[in-house]
Amino acid sequence: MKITDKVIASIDKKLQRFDPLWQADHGKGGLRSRYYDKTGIAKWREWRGVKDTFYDYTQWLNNIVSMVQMVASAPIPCLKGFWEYRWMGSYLGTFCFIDRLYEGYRGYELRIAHMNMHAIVQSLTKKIALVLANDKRLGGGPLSDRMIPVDEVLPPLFLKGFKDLIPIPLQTLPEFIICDIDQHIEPYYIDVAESYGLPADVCSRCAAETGVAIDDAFPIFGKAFLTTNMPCNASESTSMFQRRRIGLPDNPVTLAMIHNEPGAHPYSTQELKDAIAFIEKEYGVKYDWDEMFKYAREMNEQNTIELEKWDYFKTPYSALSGIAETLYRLYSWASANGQDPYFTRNDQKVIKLMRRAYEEKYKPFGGRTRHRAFLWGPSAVYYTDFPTWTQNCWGITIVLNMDSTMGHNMISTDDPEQAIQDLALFSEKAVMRHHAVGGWDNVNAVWEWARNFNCDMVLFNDNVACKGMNGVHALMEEQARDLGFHFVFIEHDLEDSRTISRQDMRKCVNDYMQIVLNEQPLDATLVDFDDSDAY
Amino acid sequence: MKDLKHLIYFENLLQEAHNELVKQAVEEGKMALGYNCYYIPETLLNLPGCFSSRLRAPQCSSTDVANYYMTTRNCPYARSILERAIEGGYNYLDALFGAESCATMERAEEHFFLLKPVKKENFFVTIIDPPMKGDQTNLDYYKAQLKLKVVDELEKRGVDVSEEAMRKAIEDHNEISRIITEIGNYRKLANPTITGYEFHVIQLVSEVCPHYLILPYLQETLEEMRTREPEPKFPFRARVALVGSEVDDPEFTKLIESCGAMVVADRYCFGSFPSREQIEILPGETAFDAICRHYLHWNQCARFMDGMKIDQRHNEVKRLVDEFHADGIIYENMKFCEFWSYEKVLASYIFVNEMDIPCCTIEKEYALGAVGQLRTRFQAFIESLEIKNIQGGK
Amino acid sequence: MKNKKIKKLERRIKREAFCRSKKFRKFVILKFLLKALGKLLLFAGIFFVSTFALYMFNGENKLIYYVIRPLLNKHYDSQVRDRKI
Repeated sequence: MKITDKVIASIDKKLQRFDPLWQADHGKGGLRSRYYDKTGIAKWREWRGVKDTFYDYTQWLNNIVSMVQMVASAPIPCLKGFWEYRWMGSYLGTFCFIDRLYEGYRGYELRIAHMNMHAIVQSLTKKIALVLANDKRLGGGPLSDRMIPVDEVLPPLFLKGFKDLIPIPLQTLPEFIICDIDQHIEPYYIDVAESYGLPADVCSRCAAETGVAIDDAFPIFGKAFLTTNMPCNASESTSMFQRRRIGLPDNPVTLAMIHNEPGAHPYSTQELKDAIAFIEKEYGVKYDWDEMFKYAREMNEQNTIELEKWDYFKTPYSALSGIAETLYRLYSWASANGQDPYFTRNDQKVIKLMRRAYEEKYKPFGGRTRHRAFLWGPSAVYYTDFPTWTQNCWGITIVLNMDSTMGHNMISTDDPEQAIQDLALFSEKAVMRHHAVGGWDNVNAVWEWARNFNCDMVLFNDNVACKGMNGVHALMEEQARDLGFHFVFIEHDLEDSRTISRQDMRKCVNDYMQIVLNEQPLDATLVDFDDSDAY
Repeated sequence: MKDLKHLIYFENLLQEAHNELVKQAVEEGKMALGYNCYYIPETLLNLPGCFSSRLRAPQCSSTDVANYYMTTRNCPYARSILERAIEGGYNYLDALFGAESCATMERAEEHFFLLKPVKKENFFVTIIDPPMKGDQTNLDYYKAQLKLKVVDELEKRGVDVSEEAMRKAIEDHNEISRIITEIGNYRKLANPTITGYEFHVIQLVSEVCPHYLILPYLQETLEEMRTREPEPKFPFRARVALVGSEVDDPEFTKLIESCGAMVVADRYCFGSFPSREQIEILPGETAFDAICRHYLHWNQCARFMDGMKIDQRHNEVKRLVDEFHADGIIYENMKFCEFWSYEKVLASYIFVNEMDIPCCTIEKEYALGAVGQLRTRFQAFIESLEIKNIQGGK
Repeated sequence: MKNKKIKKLERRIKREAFCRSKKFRKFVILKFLLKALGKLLLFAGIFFVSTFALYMFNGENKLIYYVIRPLLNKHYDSQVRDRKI
């Protein structure tokens, strides 16, 4: 052993009483001990041992650098943005957010988690600076008319054939990703929509988007707007309000709902062609397939690596699981979508680490995993760190989640006609869509996925306002019983944390684990606590 | 006014899906083809040897079993249909032609092939993926879906789907539509010779009974209408257009009219707008193409999301308000209906603020309940319409 | 006396020769670098201690949660938005 390792080991031994995992193992506290009640604010950060704490600290600095770069690249627009938009203020909760996501992470899983998170942070901060610097409400910029506002659920890859245009998912900043960070922001916009008569039983994500539109809180840029019917009914409906408020010529890209059938793809392909023709007309530019192929190669590379990752996910030696996997896949697929080569490089680094971890037979989370679960259905956006909690409290590793199975087909990089068909297939399997809509077989595929990934448990995200998923409630429960899976409905209300709180969601799992499985928690401090005032 | 001769008979026919005329048609060897939604062209289900049966679940006030399968947080119409199917109310059906018009509808229709509640031998279900825009791409997709999942399926089972057969079906549709439209036009009169309730009953029987069997009764009713005397004085305090999502219970119309407002126009699912427009075959067009084009054009579903169709929905209502001289609109949506919940908010805003048409918005269950609350809302709205009229339309 | 002067001169010449030599120049540069490194290390040490303390005691989140956000929320709540459908 090297001298430094000896010194580090000695320090770790002396300070291990501050390690919450050690505390939980020895009944002297746990991960929740260091928090102020309700606020979600920790008195001090997690002590993970010298190496891991130092690593976490360097990544914290790394993320700060990205944020400083964001402000430095557009100081006035950023300040104006904070002043103008309520949702911008919520981005200040980012560090709290990252801390809660990776509680209890050590070793390889911590490193991979931070690599993935930094990819998101660097991309998102650049996007925020770009949007605010070119927001016509804040004075506009040189790129204002070169940006294409696109519905966030429509994968923007197919628009990369417009060399000089920048597709920006419109709702991501004010509505989607910000709800991951701050559970209290979207209820404000939902209330705005409901004050205009929208019933409370509709999907809260779309209610929030409608509220942002009514509250005039979307950034303004671009010359034409692409909406979409994806993933579902409420998304189609909220587009009516957004198109009115945004006031630009719009084209709904309505991909097939029953998207598994052969007849669906020619239609979806034509829809993409129509969208391209629309942008060509509105922006006065020509589509360049060679330009698109460049980004298709990036996406293909990312998807190839993703498929290799899945092989590791099936084993107990995967250093990537839970929210580190889910959030990264969601952002890299839905938002970046092949446009940013950083994600390809990141994937290459991550897969190297995963291979090494597998070769070393490294068991993540200290080998404390008791159950391997597949997370099915649209997750609660306001409780992004739910997989971290299930891991730390009950030893339930979320091996994969439904949205990670999004479009992973290869896209042709030399034949335009084949490429557009591939893009149609790719785009159809978008967020909250691949398995949530389009027919019973899609939803029912969970059992095969769970079996293939060696899971003994299925956690079913039960969005109380999701009509499609509500419609298969009993059938799913009956299937689980027949097939012998542990099955838990996790009720939630997607973006409205008031209807069903995070604590209520935890209770669903607690009840099952305690009453049905009669198990003891790994960390007693995590079983029941109040985080209602937390971000 | 003198009672319509067949009104009680029509009301009895509406008491259950498997009514007297449906039984007769089934006994005569006709294929009973069920459907829920305007996306499935009624005309295609009335080809030779078949009859269309638009599904209702009359007097379904409890949906316990359907609630188990679909939870209580879903459209009560879809749950009621499933409940009635499980009870055995649709065992006469040979097929259900479904549409993914909304997620709930699709799930309910899927239960038909997963649970197999309809016990008739060789019963089958298909579900089309309906269009969401009114453009050429969507028309082509609509045609492809209907061809694959309706026409081809019927052809496999020996139904004549030839050009001649479709033209005959169009003629039959146009005949029924002409009669219904003519009866409905009496609502335009200053003192109509038909109530909204009566028209609702007539329109419904035309959708739930085999056309060839109900046609003689409808023809007689039209003849009656030509000589029917109105009340000495218009018996209502206001005229309203009833707009929105699913309404297949004439008691709802009766409730509105009992509060003092006559329902002069019916722009809702199961209503005559759309459903009773004439199908025109353009030069060079096949009958099938004409049917698809017609149904796509006239469809007013809130599912359509392109600007042209959104505007069409509002303009159509305005047209009906003007043609039928309505004083205001009662805009309803079924509880838990996402499409119409959103549409109601937007449409009511546009009607009130941009078109200057008073609008009352309500949410309802499938089975008529909370009558007291609805009555209060309607009465208040009607009073406001009266006051507006007194003040000269201000 | 004369020898002392000569010796003094010889020492001076040697000193000057040494100062002009490469070895001395290297020594000067090294001294400068060591001073700079020392300052850098000091700065890095202060930077590390202060940022690590901020990190470890969760300073930035406490500041944001208890001070900055309430102020911002006050501002947001007082905004008059152009709300309409």
